[in-house]
Formats: sequence, structure tokens, C-alpha cells
Amino acid sequence: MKLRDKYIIMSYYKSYYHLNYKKIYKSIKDAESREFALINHEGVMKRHLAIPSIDYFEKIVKREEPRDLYHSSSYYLFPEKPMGQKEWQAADLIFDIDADHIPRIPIKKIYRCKKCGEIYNIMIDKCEKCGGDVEEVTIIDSESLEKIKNELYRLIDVLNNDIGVPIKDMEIYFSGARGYHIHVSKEPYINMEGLDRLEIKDYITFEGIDIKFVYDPDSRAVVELKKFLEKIGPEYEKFFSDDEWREIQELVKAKNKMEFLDGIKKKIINKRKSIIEKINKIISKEIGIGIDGIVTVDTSRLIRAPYSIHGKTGLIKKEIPYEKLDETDVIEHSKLEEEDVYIHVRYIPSIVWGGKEFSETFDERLKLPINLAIYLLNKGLGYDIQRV
Amino acid sequence: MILDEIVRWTAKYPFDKDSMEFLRRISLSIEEYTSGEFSYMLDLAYKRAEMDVNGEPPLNWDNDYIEAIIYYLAMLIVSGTRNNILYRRFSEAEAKRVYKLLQNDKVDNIIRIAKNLGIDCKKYNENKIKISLFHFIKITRSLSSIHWRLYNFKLSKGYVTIDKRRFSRLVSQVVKDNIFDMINRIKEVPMKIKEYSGNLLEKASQYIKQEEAFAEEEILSKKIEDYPPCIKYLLNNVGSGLSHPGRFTLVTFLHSVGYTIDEIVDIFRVTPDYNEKMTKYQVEHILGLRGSRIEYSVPSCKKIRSYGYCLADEICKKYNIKHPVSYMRIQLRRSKKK
Repeated sequence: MKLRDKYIIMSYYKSYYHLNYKKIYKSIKDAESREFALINHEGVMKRHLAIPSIDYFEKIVKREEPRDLYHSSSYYLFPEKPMGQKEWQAADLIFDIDADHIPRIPIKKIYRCKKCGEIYNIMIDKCEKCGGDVEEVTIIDSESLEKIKNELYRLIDVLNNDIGVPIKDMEIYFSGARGYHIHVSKEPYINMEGLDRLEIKDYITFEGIDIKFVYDPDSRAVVELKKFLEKIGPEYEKFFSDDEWREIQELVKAKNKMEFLDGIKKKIINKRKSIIEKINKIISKEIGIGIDGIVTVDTSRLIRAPYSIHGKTGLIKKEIPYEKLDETDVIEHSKLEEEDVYIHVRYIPSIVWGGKEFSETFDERLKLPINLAIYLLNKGLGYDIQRV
Repeated sequence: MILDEIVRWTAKYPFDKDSMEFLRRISLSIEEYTSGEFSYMLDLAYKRAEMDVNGEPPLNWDNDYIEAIIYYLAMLIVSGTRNNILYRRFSEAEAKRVYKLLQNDKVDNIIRIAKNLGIDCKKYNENKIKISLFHFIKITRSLSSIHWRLYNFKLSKGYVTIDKRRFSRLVSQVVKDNIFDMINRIKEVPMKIKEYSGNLLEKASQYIKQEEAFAEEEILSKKIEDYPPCIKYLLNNVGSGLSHPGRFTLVTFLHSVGYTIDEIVDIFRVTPDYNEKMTKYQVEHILGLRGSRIEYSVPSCKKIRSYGYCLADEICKKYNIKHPVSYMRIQLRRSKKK
């Protein structure tokens, strides 16, 4: 990144934190018992910080000029001490929906030479221009965040209807990058140990499930599997051979879920193990919800602070009230100010950004909303930003 | 409850809170059971303790009135042995007995027992019960079998629906822990009862020896094909660098199957950022030769699952493996048979 551009990003972040540090600190429940961590613009992390007051937080933020800001999911007696001596008390139960973990939701990807910045539509080994290494760059926009919202709704549904977490106890956030976070900071959830959370995580993702051992025909796995197979249509080819599909169709016709489940289990006796394996795969890959499991299981995780900037995108991690979730355009919602800037765009694919559409553009100087310009700078897809 | 009913209840479920309440009112002092006209009950208690330790809990009895007293006397006898293996065998057998009785009891009665044990549950219908998700997870943690994974069940608003039989299984699991704790808490046993404890200890010596031998059974093997799938996976990926828990699991496991420190360090030679001194230091640290001097043991399957590289194979599932070391035992026994 050009030095001038880097400087503009830094001052953009700095003024944001100067204006919003109160809001950030106040939004963190029991902030004084958390560990704080930050990454500065050189990429260096400082952690094990205890921040007992808003004034001290102001001082830290102004002194350190963070790029990214995190707090521990956990509450400690001594948040400033090294890991083994912090005296863990409890931890928020956190779920992280990230496009990365949901391969079935397509996201725009392009490839960019790390050395000269040349852009490619397909993955190549080395840059054709300069021979440099090529990296994958994912680009989110309002549309893709809308698609990921479907997965978020599925998660909320399971948390509420199955696990029993009241909707009002779920704090829902845009993560600032490719998805959403849900924080639950109420009892009894915060008292769960890691191994208990593992069971909840696996219930949500269906990781490691084996239909042979599923006991209740009314379990979520069976109910959702039946629905999935009923409406899969010609797409069955992605999963089954024609022979297998004929057998599956027989199963789906079963009178009730009990018969359906028994039918599947009989496939083992009839030496149709491959069908069982494919069904297991469908349950975990297609029906299981795409959360990043480790975030939920780890009871002393650092998580991006609410209302802080996601350093690598420039977007804000912002809470979205459940009642407004449906109508909220996530990008528009996390916008700071109405300001357009000039930027030289190396490349943008056609995207929808907070209600505005932008068509695919190569190498052109454009006037863009400031958060999109910062996003492109961060992604290496633009340079020479200039205030209007 | 009419008298006959509460006496019946007490005979069936002597550990229950209501039973204990009742017994406290009617039972005699301990001296009257160790000498005098009721001392024959000690012989009956010894018989029960012996049957339990043999793994065959008594399921039939003649007299409701004395059955519960016998249970408590048997518990004292077992406690007098001061032997953990016998504590466990006794509580397991008594829990097995409870499991059988509960299954044939009415749902309301099972729920009464469960609630008295502090389990949050409610009746669903005459054959099904709803148990709080939190209690379900806590209780099944020690069972940790693939059959008890949460996603095998119906879950609604924080409650798991399960049938009478499975619920009885969970309740009996809690009963087992309760009985074990109770025996463990008994500090002093009357001399007369200690004589019975001595006899029991002698009678049960074969079980004790067997279990001790099992715990020390050698699981040494350097054949990768014997190793559980998670370890094979880790070994295959040493070259691309392992996460901290991954390295930790591999080091503790290899050590437990007989690798020396140098041999372990050698395995890490293929890692991208290999540094012999550093690796050796880390390995020694994990094995308790440095730093905190705590020798860490091989993580359980559940831990490994939480690290994200459990790749359970048919053996894991068939034998309900809960620990990589148990996998080795099974494997080595299988290969001996071949």
C-alpha cells in the first residue's frame, strides 16, 4: 500500500476511535473483567490488557492507535495476568457465521498479484506480468451479506427453538467482514465449560454425525434431511448416482419420519453403506450450519469488540437489532458518514454497496462512498484516495 | 404415602432423599445391628455387598422392611475396605440395579427420583421425559458414547426428549456417582463391620488384581497402523506444521506408546520451521522434564474432537473409544488374536 493511502486509513481509524471509544467500552458487558487486546498498524499485537475504566480506555486508544480491537469472551478475576493465572469466571457463548465456512454460499473471489497488484479472474500460479505470488481476495457486498443472512436466520432459529436461548438474549452483530456474530452473555450459558459448548457446537454443525446412531425420528437431523431430500430435485446428481437416487426416492415416500429413518438404517443391513456415508455427508455439509466451531468452543477467545473497526476491511462491527434484521442493509447500517472520495480503482466486480450499484470496472478513477474506497484500499484493489 | 408404599419405595430406592428421610425416623442405632438380635442383618448386608462386587446386584428380596437397612450396612462394609476399586464396583452394581428397577417403574416415579437428585426434568407422556439440555450434557459427558451425542435426539426449547429406558440410564448414572461419593465420605466404620470389610477384601482380591493389571497393561507399539486415526492424521501432517494442541497430542501419545524424547524430536524434523533445540525443549516441557514439571497426559477423545481432528473410524465407533490409549489396547488385543 502506498504510504499516503496508509496514512489516510490510519487517520480514518484514529478519528473513528476518538469519536467512538465511549460507545465501544459501554457496549462491552463487565468490561473491567475482560482481557483486551489490540493490533496496531504495524500488525503487532498487544494483549493481556486490563481496562478498568472508560478514562483508561480513552488513554489506551489514543496512545496505541489500534487497527483492530478485541476483548476476551471470558470474564476473569485478573484479566491482566498471564493465561494460567487469570482465574476464569465465565465466558460469553459466541457464534461466528463466516462465509468461509459455508461453501454452498457463493462469494465473489478474484486473484491479485501480491507484488505488482495485477488482477486475475481465475487462480493462476504466478503473475503473468511480474512472476509474483498470487493471492485470493474475497469481496463482500450488500447482496452476499444478504445471502449469508439466511444462514444467520437458521442459526437464530436453532438457538431459539432447540437450544432455548431467548431471542432477547442474543446480541446479533455484523462481523465487519464476511458474516455475523451472535453473543450470548446471560446465565446459564456463560457458565458452560468448553466441553459442554462442544456438544452445542456439534449440534449446530452436525460435525461427525452418523445417521446410524440417530435415535429420534423427530430430531432436527432427520426432519431437515427429509425436507432436503424432498426438494432437492435434479440436483440429486451432485450427491447420488441414479441407482442410489431411486432408492432414496423410495425412502422419502415413507409414511412418516419413523419409517423414513428406519429405512435409512436398513441400508446398512442391505450393504448399501455408500448411501449412508453420502447421507451423513449431506447432513453435516448441507444441513449443518456453517459456524466457525472453535469460536464457540474456546472459552477464552479474543473476539472483535463491538463497534470497533475490522482492520482489514474498514467496516464496523455493529449490532443489528433482531426486529430490524430483515430490513437492514448491512453495509448501509455500518456506514459512518455520507462522504464520497476519489480513488483510483484497479478493479471492482459488479457489486451492490449499501443500496447503490456499481458495475465492473478496471483501472479507472472513480468517486465512491468513503467506506467502499477504504475497503478497496484494504483489499489492494485501489490506490491514491483523495477527499473531494 | 401410606406406610407400605413408603417402605416399598425405600427398599427399591434406598439412596433417595425421601427414603433417607424415612429411614432416619425408623432405623435403630448402629450398635443394635452389630450386636444383639438384629445382627443377622449384617450377614445379609455382607451378601449384598459381595453380590454387588461380583457385578450381580440382587434384584429380588423377601422383606421390604429390612432391605433398605441392609443396603446401608452393605455400604458401610464396602467403605471399611478403603479400596477404590471396590467402591466403584459396588456403586456400579447398585446403579445397575436401580436402572433395572426404574425401567419398570412409572414415569412419575422415575421423575420423582430424578428431581430428588437435582435433575431438571418433566413428563412428556407415559413413555417419554424431557430433560434439561444442560443436565443431559453433564451426565452424558462421562458416558461420552456416540449414542449419546446431542444431535441424535430431539431438542426443543432447551429440553431433550428421551424415552423411559434411556432416561433411567441417565438417572442411574447420577445415582452411581452419588453412591460412590457417599461411600467415600464415610470416615469411620465400627470394628465389628470392619471384620466384614476384611472378608470382602479377601473375597474380591481377584477383581482387584485384574483391574490393577488392566491399568498397567502395556500398550507399547511403534507400528503406525496400530494408531488411532487422529494420531495417524497428525503424523501425516507434521510436515505441514501442526497447531499447538496437535503437537501436544502427538507428543504425549508417542511417549505413552514408548517413544523416547530423541525419537519424538526426530519425528518433528520435517516441520517447516524446525529447530532442534527448541523442539527438544518443548517436548521435554510437555513430558514434565522442564518448566512446570507437570507430566501432561494424552488428551481424551472429547478434547481431540474439540481441537477439530477427530476422524473416528470403525474401531472408535464399534468399541465406543473415549481415549486414544484405549484404542491402542483394543488394537493390540486384536492383533494378538490374529
